[in-house]
Amino acid sequence: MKKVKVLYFGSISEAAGRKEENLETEGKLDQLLSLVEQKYPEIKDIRHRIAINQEINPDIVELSDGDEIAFLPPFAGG
Amino acid sequence: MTKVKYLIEGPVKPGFVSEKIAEHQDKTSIGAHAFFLGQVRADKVGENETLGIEYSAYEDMVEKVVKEIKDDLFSRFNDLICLHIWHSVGLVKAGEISLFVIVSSGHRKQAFAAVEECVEQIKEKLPVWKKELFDDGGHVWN
Repeated sequence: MKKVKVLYFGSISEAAGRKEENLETEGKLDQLLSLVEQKYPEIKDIRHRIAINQEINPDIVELSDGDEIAFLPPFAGG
Repeated sequence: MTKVKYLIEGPVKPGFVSEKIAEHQDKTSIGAHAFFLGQVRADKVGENETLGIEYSAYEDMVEKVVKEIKDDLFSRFNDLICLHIWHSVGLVKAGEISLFVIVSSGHRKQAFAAVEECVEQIKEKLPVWKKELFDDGGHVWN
């Protein structure tokens, strides 16, 4: 099992009821994303991108211990 | 306090802007500063009016993205001398400033062009979110 840190931002932090948590996953990104969507089904309805270690939509399938996975709704700075 | 130097807790105060002007007076190769100040607008949505915006950010990623924006602009505008960005996190009330960009160059043309480009890149790439707070107690995420 891999231990990763999951971060939730903007409207997704409200849907998840938290800003971050540590989760254990078997190691594939897809498995982690399904786990999070099961926990917080509302996330599926919110448009977002995924960043791993601050890189958006990286070409990563397998997660490593200590990875930081972030759920990013559309940015709205300014 | 935020741990990232580009982020300010609460609004950008007018005094902060004048301090930054003063800090550039020893850089005498500068001939032009172009500024952008983003102000929170009291939008009307139906019956409700915006009281303020609560900003939040992915702080570590902000640091990385600001560096990327600066590297990109310095590589494309050869007359640039300084480029600084400050964005608010936390509550900024309607009428207060939430974004402050200064671009300084030898001559005015590149300062004007680069400040516009910089603000566009901030809008597109900076991981910041807005929770717009209304006078009836409601909110929306933008």
